[in-house]
Amino acid sequence: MSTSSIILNEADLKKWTELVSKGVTNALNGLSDMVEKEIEITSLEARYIAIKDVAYLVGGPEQTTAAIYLSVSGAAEGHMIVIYRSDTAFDLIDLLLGQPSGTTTELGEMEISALGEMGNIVGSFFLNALADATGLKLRVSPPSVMMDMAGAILDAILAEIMLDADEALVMQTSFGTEDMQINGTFLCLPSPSLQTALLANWSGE
Amino acid sequence: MTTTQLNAIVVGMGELQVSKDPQAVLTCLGLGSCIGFSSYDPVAKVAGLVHIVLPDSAGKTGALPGKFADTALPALIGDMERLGAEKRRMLVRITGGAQMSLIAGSAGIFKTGERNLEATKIAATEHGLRIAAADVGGHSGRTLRLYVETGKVTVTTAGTETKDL
Repeated sequence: MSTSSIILNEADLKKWTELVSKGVTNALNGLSDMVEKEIEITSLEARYIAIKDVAYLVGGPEQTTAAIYLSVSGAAEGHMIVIYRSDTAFDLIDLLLGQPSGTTTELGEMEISALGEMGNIVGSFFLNALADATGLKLRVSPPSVMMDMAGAILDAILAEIMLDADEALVMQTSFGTEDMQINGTFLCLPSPSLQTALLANWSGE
Repeated sequence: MTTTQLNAIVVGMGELQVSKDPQAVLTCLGLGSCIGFSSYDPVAKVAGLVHIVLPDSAGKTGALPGKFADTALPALIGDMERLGAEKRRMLVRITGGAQMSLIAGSAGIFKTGERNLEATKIAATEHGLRIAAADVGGHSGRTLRLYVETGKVTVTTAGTETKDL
């Protein structure tokens, strides 16, 4: 794979942002059904940043973060990681369990299970939307939920991008319900192979 | 930070730093599959740290020699020697090379840690460096700190105590 296929031009970047928006919208619809509350995206932004700086978007390489890892097979091979700070994870759990924000402060068995459930919904709804839009038949693995230092969670997937580039495309989004804003950054990092396949099969709105 | 003001120098993915500033603490934060490869000459009090991301450059010549195990080590040795270090005195301690997946048997990217470790050991042997201590593998992230004044190396794992390496 050449570098040019990883670093998108402006038109492809716009296409990619549109495609990911569909995925995020669908993922949040899934989440919305799950928590029985209206959830809206407040921002969604795609940009390139130096790979060594990616972890700073979620509080720095040493910050404890939660991540959902999904692998995709079928018409396109690859994987994707969604990562956010642990306090965002706690907010999400509160949302899911219908508790006031700030109730959850650590991860017990029930919280991990809730996070896994959420990862399942978010991840599969996200990728299903992308599969629908591109017409690619994709199989999504059950999600794997990880909590560890951001740098450690990210470095294997970043390493793969770093084979060919020193920058990574990151999608940042934040969202909330009417009475609760989920603070924090969600990072969505597709592997180069997955991004290339999706983009090649997506013709736009 | 009781008596002297220490100065943390963060060595990011693919980066390489050398120092003989006694106040400097060379630091690799949140290593997963990456390798924090530290080297210290106790006589010259010269320290070096490289944040290795991938095993093999396959002949690629990039801007960051620290990115690959095979190019990182000669670059580290060269930079330390320029500060007065001698290779035969270099004390090498490494950490990282974890496998971060919780998915049993998943292949591919999560073998990166293992491959990085393997390539790092081979490169060390090739360049005549002996690895004196290692805290590697496993499934957790780690932070490595190398204190230039004393040569002390610490490893911190998420949610646990910091220990000397």
